[in-house]
Amino acid sequence: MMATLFNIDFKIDKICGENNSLVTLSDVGNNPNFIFRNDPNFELITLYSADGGKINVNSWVECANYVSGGWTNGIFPTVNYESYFFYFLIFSSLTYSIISNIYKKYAD
Amino acid sequence: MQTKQYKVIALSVLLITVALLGLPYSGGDEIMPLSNETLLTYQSSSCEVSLFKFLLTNGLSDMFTFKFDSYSNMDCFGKIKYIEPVKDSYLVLVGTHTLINLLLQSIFWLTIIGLIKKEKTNVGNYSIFIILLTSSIFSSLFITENNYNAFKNTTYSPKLEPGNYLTFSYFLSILLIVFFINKILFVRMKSLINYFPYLFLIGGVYQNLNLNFFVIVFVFFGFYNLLKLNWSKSIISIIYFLMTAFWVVSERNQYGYFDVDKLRGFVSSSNNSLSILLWSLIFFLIVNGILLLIKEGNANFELLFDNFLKSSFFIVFFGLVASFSNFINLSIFYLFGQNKQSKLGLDSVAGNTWRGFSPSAEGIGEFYGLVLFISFWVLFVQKRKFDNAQYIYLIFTFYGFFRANNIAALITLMLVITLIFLYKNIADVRLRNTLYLFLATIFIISSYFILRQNTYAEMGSGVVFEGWQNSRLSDVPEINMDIVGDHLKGKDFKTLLETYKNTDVISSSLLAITNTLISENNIRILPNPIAVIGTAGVFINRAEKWGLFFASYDPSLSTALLGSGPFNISNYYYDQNLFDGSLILPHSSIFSYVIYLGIIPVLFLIIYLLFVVFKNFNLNDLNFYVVLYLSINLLKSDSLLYFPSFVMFLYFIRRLKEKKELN
Repeated sequence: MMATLFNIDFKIDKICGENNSLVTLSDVGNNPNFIFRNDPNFELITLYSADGGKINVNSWVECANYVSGGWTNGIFPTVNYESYFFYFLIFSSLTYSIISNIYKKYAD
Repeated sequence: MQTKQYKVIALSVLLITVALLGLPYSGGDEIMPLSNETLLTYQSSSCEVSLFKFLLTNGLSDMFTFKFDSYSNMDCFGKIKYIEPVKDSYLVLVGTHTLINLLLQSIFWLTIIGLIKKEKTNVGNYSIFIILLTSSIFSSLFITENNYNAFKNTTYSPKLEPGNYLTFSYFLSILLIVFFINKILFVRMKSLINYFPYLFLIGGVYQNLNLNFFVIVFVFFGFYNLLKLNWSKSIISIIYFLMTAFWVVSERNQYGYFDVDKLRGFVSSSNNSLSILLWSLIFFLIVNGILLLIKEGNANFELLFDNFLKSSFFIVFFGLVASFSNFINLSIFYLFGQNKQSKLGLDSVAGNTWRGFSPSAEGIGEFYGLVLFISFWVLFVQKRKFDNAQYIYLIFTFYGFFRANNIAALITLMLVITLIFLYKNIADVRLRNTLYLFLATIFIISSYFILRQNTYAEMGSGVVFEGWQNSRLSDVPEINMDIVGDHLKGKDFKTLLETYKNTDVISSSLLAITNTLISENNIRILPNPIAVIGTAGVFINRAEKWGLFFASYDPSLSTALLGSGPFNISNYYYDQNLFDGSLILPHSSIFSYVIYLGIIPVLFLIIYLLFVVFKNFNLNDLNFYVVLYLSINLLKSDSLLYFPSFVMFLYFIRRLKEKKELN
């Protein structure tokens, strides 16, 4: 059997939808001069970058190209709540261990 | 103490409700009721309206279908992510987040387990070491199942780099969960196993994740079992790890994503080498965990029986409650950690079945049947009396059993009850044996009348026929399907085999069984094994499903013999790609485990099971009947692919082997 790896980029599927055009992401490759042509059947999507950038894409391949570069269809949250959650867990764990140690000492 | 603990449970339910409804952030402006005119306003204000406020304004109308949307940022938890008009109704997507789910659901389940009485145990506590090992397994899974998690989490990245707070918070959460499992469950190790029937009620599957809380629990205890290695255990472990090495390095088509659907938390979503290694370890440790909890636990039949009845009652009860409202259905799904949402509505589906609370009507039918059987044992063999509440539980169980419409469970239930009835009431051995013979004759004669429209040759080829019928031959444009149809109609499998054996649309297993069926090298006094499987398949209405199994199962010889690894079903699914996205299981636990472990280990396990059953043959032992009942049912159901049924089967085999009377 041939070993192949289908590493599907779900983010592209999720944000850009199904590719109904004949152009694929590999056609773009690393070509800086590639021109994205508007696809009349593609519904315009607005993408955002982490540094606050915003762009409207008019074809699936343009959308896929930007999404693979880290752009997304939702505005990046200005607050990283997951970091808050992380510190909340650290803080709670420390508090718990301190309180339980004091409690143990007191109980003894 | 009990009242205090119920208060803690009530508090944790309240906490989850408050968080899910988005109460902490439900202030702000008034909102307009949802209509076609206000729809755009709702759509443009994603993650701004809390679920609580939405419900307050719009109520729980049938027009709304609520669904969780896991692909949300953390600040969207408990808020309306998006609303989509669907025909005459609206699909309301409620934002959730992996980390908050992990926290809330764990708090709830740990609180419930906290209700169990503490007892001293003789097992030494090596907590820190085992906590670290357990949490590292499940943390690694978050990285190795990257496509599944990328699909479910908007900020997911498998790279361990600064700023990847989702992954680091996940690791920390898992570490804390295992820490509290150790803290809360270790001191309850003695009585935990008596509560396993509740696994059918509280699934323990985390929303958004391919992770089951109780799998973590059993893996944790599995490590403890490994601390007490003896010779036989060591040899089995070495053989298992050699097999694991084979599964990891074996050549296979790799698929990044398998839709786990109703098997979520107890199946791998990827078949890359690391996933196979981790899931193989998990399987090994789960089995060890179950064995440890049985060995160290205090078997208490009264308690176990009561838990069976209560669990069965609550499954039917919550199945009914969840059937009435989409919102309640979704809340129950979250709170109980179900693999799949309960059935909405009371209508029966294919095969006249109603699965209710459970992901599988077949599996839950077996469970209800077992509860009814144990109740029969208690009432008529042990001649004990039920209290009023237990009669009510029993009525609900009857209802669930009736609606699940599992005919195989009903027939086996009647079989074991008849067996016991005759054994207990007829003292004369000769008369009893005559009656057994009489009933067996009636069974054979009625079977003949049921099947007389078919010849043995017709039935024997049933599975092979369905296999070819469901194969992908029609995908090849050069193949004339009229000719294939003619060969199938004439049961000319020899021509089919010779003509199409070199096409890659016919699976290796289908080729093998066809070859065996038409082989001229049969031993004359023995029936052809494929013909026996085919006849059995037709008799129990499994010919089509088993045919589909063989059409799809396309292993190499070594994989067929030694399997593709526990919980790895991806190759079975995608190598022939027959199922078009829907999760169709093999409809036999034997076939399911052939995919996982291969023909040789499954044969060994069957021989071992037969050995245990015959060695411990005792018509006065409840465990004997239960193992008989479950084994017969597992031949035609996929129940062993579900965690609760897996635990239950292992539990009763172990009890039978230990000859520990559950009386």
